[in-house]
Amino acid sequence: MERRRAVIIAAALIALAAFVGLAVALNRSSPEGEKKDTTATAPDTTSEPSTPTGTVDSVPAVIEPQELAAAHTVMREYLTTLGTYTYRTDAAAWTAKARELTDGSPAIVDQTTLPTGRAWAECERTKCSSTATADLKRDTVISNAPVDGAGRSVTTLASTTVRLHQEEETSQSTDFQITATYTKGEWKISGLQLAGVGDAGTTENS
Amino acid sequence: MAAPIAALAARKIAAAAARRTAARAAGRYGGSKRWKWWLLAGLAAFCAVAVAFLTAFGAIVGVLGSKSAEAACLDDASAQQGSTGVPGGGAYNPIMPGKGMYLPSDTARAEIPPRMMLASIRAAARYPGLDWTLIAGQMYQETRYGQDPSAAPGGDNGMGYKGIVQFGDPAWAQYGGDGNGDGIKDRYNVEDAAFAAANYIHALKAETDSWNALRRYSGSTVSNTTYMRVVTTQSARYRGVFSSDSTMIERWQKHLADTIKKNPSFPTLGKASGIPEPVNDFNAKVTNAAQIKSAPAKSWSTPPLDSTPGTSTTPATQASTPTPGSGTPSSSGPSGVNSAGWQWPMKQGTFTFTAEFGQSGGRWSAGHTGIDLAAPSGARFYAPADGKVIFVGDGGAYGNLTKIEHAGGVQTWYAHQSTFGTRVGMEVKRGEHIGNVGATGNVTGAHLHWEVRLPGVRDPHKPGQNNGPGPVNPKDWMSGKTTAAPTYGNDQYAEAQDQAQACAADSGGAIVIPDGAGATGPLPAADSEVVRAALAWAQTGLGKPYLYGARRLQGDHPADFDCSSFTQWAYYQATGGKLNIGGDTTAQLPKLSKHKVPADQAQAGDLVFFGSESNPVHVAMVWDPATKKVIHAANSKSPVRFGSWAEQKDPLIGFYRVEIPSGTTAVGPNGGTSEAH
Repeated sequence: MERRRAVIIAAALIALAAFVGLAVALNRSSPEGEKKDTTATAPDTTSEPSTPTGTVDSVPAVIEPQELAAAHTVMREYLTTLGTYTYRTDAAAWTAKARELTDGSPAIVDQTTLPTGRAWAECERTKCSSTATADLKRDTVISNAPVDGAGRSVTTLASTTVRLHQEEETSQSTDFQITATYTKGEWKISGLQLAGVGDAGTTENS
Repeated sequence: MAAPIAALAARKIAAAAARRTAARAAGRYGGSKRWKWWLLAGLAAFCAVAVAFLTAFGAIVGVLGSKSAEAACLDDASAQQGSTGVPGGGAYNPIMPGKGMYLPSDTARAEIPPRMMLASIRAAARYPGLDWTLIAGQMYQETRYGQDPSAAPGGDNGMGYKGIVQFGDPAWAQYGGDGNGDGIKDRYNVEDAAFAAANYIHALKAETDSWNALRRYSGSTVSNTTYMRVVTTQSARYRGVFSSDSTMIERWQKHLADTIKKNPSFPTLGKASGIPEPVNDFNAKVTNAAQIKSAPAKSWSTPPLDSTPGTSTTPATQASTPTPGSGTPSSSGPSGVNSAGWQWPMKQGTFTFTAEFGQSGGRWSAGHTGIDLAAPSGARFYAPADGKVIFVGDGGAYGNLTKIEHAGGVQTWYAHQSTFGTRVGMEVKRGEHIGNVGATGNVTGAHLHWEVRLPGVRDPHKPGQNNGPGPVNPKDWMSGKTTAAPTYGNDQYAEAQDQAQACAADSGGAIVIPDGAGATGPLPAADSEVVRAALAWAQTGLGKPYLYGARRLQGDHPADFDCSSFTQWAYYQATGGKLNIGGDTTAQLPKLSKHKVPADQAQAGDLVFFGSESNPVHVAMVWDPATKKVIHAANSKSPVRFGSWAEQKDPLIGFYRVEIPSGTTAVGPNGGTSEAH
């Protein structure tokens, strides 16, 4: 009798374990789970990659998540740097730091500047301050192009919001397609293209 | 690491169980407790195996999910998601379609002091491709057309910036101009300042990249867009139709000069003059420009160029609508003109009837005086019969209007044009190009409003009874008169347009129709309707900027392309989404490899690849094999344009025909569909 009872209890436990296992497996493949997984390529540098990336069907990943996270970090830093300064900012130091984040190509260097000319004079007159935040919305291209040795690059749709205090405080958001390219062992910003202007000129009170 | 640890634990537990089994066999365990140890060992082993399995399974799901998401960045479905819906570079960096200028819009006439408008036009005219509306927009943004005190002679904004466009000393020394020809470069003089602004933004390459030219002019950072937004928004509001008609341009300059003479002292620089200021930092967005209403015309505003029929200075969006005559229209017409020899003004299949003659509705107070032929902005239309052009200009609610008088006093009117192809007094032959479809005047979308007017029929626009010519139903008029051999494209304008395109290409850009809808023109012959539709879609992409890695399949209004996204998009659009040839060259080439064709058998619509079969680096769509002409997103230095496959540096791999699935319905850019044969 004891042996029979043991078999019944063991079978019940096995069934329970199987049920729990199935529930866990289904939960992991639910839509919510997929959504969570999608963030593996979303610009979130705060989370560690939780799964090995390796290969699927022997096709290597375009760019590993850890590398993507590194690229996104540079993008965010560049965009916030671009829009953050005050009238007392040391232009030479700011420019050196900001351009260090770029690949040094003329087009991106041209865009990596503090206000100049009249805009800077206005900033000094009004004792302006500007702060920027960057929201990386989604990757639009992840490539490892064999073309002309272009190598690995990531293009991401990003939105920056700049709050400029200059007599009065205003904010404006701008969408960019920002590109980071893996160059000489580092991710560098190689492209910045206007993708659209969002809420513009809104004040704190609006 | 979770899976290996679980597996190791399972192995240890199993080993322990084995040891216990051995011990049991050796009689070291009491018989009454033996079943409990069996149970515990079995359960532990199962759980360990289950945990290991589930962990491994979860890891696989996670990896797959991760990979799926990664791949989804480039696949069709997710490419359509998350779109900002905001046009890309094209909306912010419009490129002038060749030599000529944008005629002033009704908004420009109402809001820009004529002196500033003429100065801007003259200044920009010295640089082909430079848009005068940018300079006018700068005058607005800098000093609200000189109303700021710093624009008055001797004025200063306190930081050394002076005059209507706020030049500092270094920039004035480099770019200062003498627009009024008095031998003095005076930044407080409107004409001189306009010339200087033109010099400066030309040096900054505003012809091809106005946004960044304005950014550098103003000293703004890339993320502080106020200056660029205000200027480009005003610029968009000021642009009327584009004209390369030198006579028309001269007439406008003279018209402005005459208007200035009537009020020569307006405005007084440095003083508030009541100049409208409808655009500010809060609403300045070029994509909203059309929603910012025109200010009412002032006493100093520039009247319309022609006294008839567009005598009103009311903005086009508020203009009254044409109504048909109250009399019974007759299509019999005057004697002598009923013989065959007429043709429809547009090719069959290139338009859709969207409003009939006499139709009533909210758009017409009493009825519709013509018929509407809907087609993409920029589509060409042609003279339906021989005649003489009697009017070309602003038609008020009709928008840009051309009138042709034919034999027997019959008139045909062509309204809402985007561009003119004739001038007053010109004799036109049947089939000759006379203009392009647009959306000017009182419209809800691009179409050709076509009227046929006969003498003796009452004109509803004239008061009381009159002898017209008044409108009749064009369909009735055409009945029995339509020639069996219509001709389209017997025009002299094509050459001018080709020149304009070449000019634009020389400036680093391709021809762009003012509304950004791309260029139109005759399509090459293609056996398949789907291929023809793909060519038509490709044609609408002309002028779109190149962006390596551009988002795939951007729908009807793409912002940018690279080479493979362009060919992928054209066929995807042409098949209503049924055919996806792949998002990059390495995907497209293998997919099409079964349909490689010899070079001497290449046809319009075939794809030509460059590079090597293992590494295809470029793809273009064949446009005209006889001249090796292709249409493609060539490289980052130019937008989508025509070119030659012979000019590619990379080796030509071959020509590949895109196989159209049987039964695929062709979907053209104008929404028309037809079954593939």
